[in-house]
Amino acid sequence: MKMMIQTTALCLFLLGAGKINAEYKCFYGNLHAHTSYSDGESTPDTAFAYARDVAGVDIQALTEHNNGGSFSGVSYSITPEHYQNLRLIADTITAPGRFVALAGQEVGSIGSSGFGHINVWEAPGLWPYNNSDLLGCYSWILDQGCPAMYCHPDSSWNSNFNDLYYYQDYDRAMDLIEIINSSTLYEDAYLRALERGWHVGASANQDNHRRDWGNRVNSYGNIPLTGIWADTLTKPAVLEALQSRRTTAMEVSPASDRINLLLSVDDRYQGEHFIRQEGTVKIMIQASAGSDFASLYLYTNGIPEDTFKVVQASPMVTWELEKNIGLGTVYYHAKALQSDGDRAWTSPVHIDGVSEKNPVVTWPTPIKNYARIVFTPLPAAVSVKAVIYDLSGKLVKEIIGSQPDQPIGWNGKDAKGRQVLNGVYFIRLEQKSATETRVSLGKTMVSR
Amino acid sequence: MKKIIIISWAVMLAQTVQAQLLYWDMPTTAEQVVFGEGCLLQSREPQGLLQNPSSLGFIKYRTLSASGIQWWQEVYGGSASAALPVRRYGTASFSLGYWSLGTVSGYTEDGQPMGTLQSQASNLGLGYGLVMADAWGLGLNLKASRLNLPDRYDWGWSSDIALMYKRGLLSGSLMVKDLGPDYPRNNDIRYPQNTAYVAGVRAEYLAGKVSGSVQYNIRKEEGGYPSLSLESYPLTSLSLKIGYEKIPELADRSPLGLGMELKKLGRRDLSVAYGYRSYGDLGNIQALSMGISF
Ligand SMILES: [Zn+2]
Ligand SMILES: [Zn+2]
Repeated sequence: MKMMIQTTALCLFLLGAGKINAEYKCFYGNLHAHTSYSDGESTPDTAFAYARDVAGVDIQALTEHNNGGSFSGVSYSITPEHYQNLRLIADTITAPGRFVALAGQEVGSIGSSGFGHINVWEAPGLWPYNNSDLLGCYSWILDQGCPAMYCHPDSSWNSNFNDLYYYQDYDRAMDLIEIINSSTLYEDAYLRALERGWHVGASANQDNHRRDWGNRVNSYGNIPLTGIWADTLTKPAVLEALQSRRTTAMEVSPASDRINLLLSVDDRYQGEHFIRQEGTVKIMIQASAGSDFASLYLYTNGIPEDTFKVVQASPMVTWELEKNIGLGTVYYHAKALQSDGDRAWTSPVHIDGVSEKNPVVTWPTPIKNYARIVFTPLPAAVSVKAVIYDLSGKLVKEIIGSQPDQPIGWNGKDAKGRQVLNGVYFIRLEQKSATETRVSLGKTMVSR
Repeated sequence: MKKIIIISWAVMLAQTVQAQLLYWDMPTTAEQVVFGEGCLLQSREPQGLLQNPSSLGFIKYRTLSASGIQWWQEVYGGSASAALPVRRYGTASFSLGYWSLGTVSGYTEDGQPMGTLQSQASNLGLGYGLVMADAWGLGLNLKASRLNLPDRYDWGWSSDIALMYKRGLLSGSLMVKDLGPDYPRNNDIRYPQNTAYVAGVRAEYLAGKVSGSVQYNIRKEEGGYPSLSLESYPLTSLSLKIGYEKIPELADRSPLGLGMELKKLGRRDLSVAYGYRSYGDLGNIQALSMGISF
């Protein structure tokens, strides 16, 4: 069977240059850099102009330290005035279709009591730093409603985000994780974060502290960049793409040899998370760049189960394969290796496999604190709502799903925010499409 | 001093009360299904009488009753109770209840199946009722329940106090229902019981061929609601029952309950009652009760 898949894949192997066929276009960004507003050099306007005109990137973020830190008695933490100024400059220099400048902050500390560094872009406010309060930081990010990323997640450093411990309540706080930051590879941390349960996407950045915003060459001789898949080059589209984790991490050399690596599972792109009935999924990996690819890898739950060796060197490759998914969560991500050693990683696609037998269930059951309500999706559904009842039929809580085919989170609390008592609970799930309303019932248990 | 009393009274009222599920309040009998809380006043079937201890004292015969209920979503309940007149001193009651909450599929956090989980609840009730001056009924109920989960259990207890005045075809009752400590007793997550204050009157017409009651139930948090109940006898041994009760937080429960009863069957005064109520998309509930007096 595997041989057959390989053969089909070879038949689809394409030669020649051209654009990857998708509704999104890949824009290249550097999402982590500093100026003298914290511990870097020069000023934001110079940095943005350099990234745009010299490095030729589409998106540049300035993420100044915001942690109250100081060096030799001099604070390098960004001031509120400077942050307002940075936001103003970023908005002024952003030109739709040409360049997007992001104002960011790098919060937290890598000191002995710090949880690590987290980049947050375009937050309305500055984090009131408490460098040991990781959960407080997650909750602040959720309040700000802006994208965020784990920076240089080095497990040998102190807390490293409580060893990337997964808190379901804060799942939506974190969007990306750095696989490369200037010189170090953090692929292990990426796999670990996914294994822990985080829904985070791939990013590679330069963490510039000198005047090389957008084209800093790392110790491997490559330039780290994040490919951001958006329909247009505007600030809202870029922020949406970051929060949707529609990204590719890459390190390239020369600067012009940028990589497009797009993963789709059943026509859903990297970063997406959806529920699907168990069965066969169609996976497509499309890679294109200025130089040849050597091999592509498909990782299943963090393990490179499938490999595609590019026999005839080509700068554009399409690999199609089928995989069987069963009950439970599975996630796929792709990795590409070029003949010249350049690498790229996609964000994962998360799929929650459900069975038609149990149309509405909670993961986990029994519920201790937080659970996901998972259900058999109605085709072409536009909305989903879960209503939770106790045994007596009392309406405990009504939750509207954020996406019609994504699990619905429940924190085990009633409409007034009180933890519900132990017992059996019922879920009435209502899915609506343009033509149909489907009601399904499920039963779960809370025990704590 | 007065201020302090007013403030503490306001604090008491403002205290958040979770309308938590108290298993002893889950209906198991046909009349509870039909009348809802209205059965506290309206009910005449032996087991229904036990719900309101102030009417216990008026039972002059030993009675036994048993009920089974089909709940929605593969949940089943049952109960059995006995009332025993203690000469001159009143009437005592004893009841046992059981709920099978069915099976639930177990899953890990990432959706791997983990077999099936089962849970049950069991209830115990003790009551005592007195009649004074042939008109005043006074009663007390003690109730306890235990919920069994795969790896733990929760338990709690409560009480009801009731007063009834009965004159001819008229009766009136006041009741404090679910008075007890936080529930459950053995869990850090516990809440004050949602004590209800119930008042109502019941009247019979046409020599008992038609009876009806109006009752009002007041609770701290969710506010009050009325219960209206009606029973009529088109035949001597057949009665039809209808209850109206709209409890705000039971959004899917039909306000109407329907039922019927065959009474005075055989020499032992056997009765068989049936009750039905819809819970919309969640399903329907129906109960069958049997009683015997001797
Ligand atoms: Zn840093
Ligand atoms: Zn940095």
